[in-house]
Amino acid sequence: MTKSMFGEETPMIDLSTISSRSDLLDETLKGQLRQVLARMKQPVTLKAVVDMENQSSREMAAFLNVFSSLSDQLSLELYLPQEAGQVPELDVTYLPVTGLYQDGQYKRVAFHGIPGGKEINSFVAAVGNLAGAGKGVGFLLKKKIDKIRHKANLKICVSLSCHHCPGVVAACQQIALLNPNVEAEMIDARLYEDLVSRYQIERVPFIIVNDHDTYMGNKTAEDIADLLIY
Amino acid sequence: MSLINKEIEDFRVQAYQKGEFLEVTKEAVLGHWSVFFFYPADFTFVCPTELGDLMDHYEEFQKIGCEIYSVSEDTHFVHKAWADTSETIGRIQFPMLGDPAGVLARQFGVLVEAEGQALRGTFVVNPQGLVKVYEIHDMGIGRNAQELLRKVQAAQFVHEHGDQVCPAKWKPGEETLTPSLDLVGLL
Repeated sequence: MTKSMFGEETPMIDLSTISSRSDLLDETLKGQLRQVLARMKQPVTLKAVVDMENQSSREMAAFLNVFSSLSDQLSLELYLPQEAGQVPELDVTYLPVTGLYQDGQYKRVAFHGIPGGKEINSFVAAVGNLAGAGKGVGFLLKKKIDKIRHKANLKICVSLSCHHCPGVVAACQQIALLNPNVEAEMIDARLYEDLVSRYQIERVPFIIVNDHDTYMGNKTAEDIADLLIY
Repeated sequence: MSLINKEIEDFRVQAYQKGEFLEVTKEAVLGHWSVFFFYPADFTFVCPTELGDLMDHYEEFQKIGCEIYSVSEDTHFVHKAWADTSETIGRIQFPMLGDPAGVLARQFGVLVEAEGQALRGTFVVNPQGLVKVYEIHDMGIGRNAQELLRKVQAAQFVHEHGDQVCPAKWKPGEETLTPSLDLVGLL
C-alpha cells in the first residue's frame, strides 16, 4: 500500500502497466460510447479488484482502462487482491469485481466478470444513471423504491448472450442507486462454476437475494421492488 | 379452436380409486396441477400399457404436485371390474374417472360420438383450472408418460418463473462476447 503526498491510500496498480487496447472495444463502439458518455453530468469512479494472474481479470483491466478513457468524467482505480482491503465494500469472492463510486462513496452497484455481449448495456446504464445522464424513474416507482426498508443484496446472475438480462440488471441497479438499503451486483455466471453449481443455475436472469432467496426470469423494477418490500 | 388457456367447465363424475368409489368435481381438481388422460375404453390392449406406463411414473407426478385422472366413457363400475381382472390396472393408484355421459370428453373435444369412445387426449390443467398443454392422438397411437412428465414440469416452470428466461449453457474457457450496444429503455 502506498500513500500519496496528501496521506491518502493510492491504488497499487500503475495504470500505465495496463493495456490501452481491449479486444472488446473497437473504434466504432468507442465512438458510440463517447457519445453516450458525453451526457455524464457528474464524475464517476470505477474501482476494481483484479487478479492479474487470471485471464478474465486481465481482460477486464484492459476493458476498464479503455472504457474510462472515453470520458473526462470517468476515473479508474485498480487493486490487486492483496490490496482489496482498500475497497472493503467490494465482495472479492468473484473476481474481477468492479464497483461504481461517486464522491468517494461506494454506490452499491458492482459487476463481477466482464460486461461484454449484451451486458455492456447494463454497465453503461449504471454509469450513466449514476452520472445523471439517465431519464430517471417515475414518481410512483420512486415511491415504491423508497419503501424498501430492509437490507437487500441482489446478485443478478447473467449470461452475456441473454437478451432479458441487461434489463433486469439495470432495474436492480437503478433501485440500488436510489435506495441505500439495496446493493446490486451483476455476475457473469459463466466465470464462476461454484456459484452455478451451488444455486443450480440453468437459466438466466437469476436473482439471488441476500444469498438465500432466488428468482428467475425477466422482471421489471416494480416487480423487483415488490420482492424487497415486506 | 385451441383449448390453450381455456378454463375447464364444471363437471361432476364418479370415479374408482384403489378399491373405492368417489366423486370428482371441478372444485376438487383446482388448487393443484392435473392431468386428464383420456383413452377409448376399458378392457382394450393399448390402454393398459399406457396406464401402466403412467402408473410407473405416478410417484414422480405426485412429487411435483400433479394428480393424474384417467378418463374413459365407461362407468366407474367397469373401471373396478377391469382393475379386479387385470394385474396392470389393479396396481393403479390414481383416480379413474367414469364419463359415460361424455361430459368430460365433450368439453375437451375428444368424444367420438358415433362410437361413444374418447380419443387418446392428454390435457395438463394448472391449479387455476386452465388448460396449459394438450395433445390428442387418434385411436391406437400411444403416449409416453416420461414425455408427459417433462411437459408438466415445463408448464410448472413457466407458471412459476414466466417465459422470459434464457437457457444458460456455459462452457469453461468460453471467450467473452463482443459487446453489442443497445441502450433503448435502459438509460
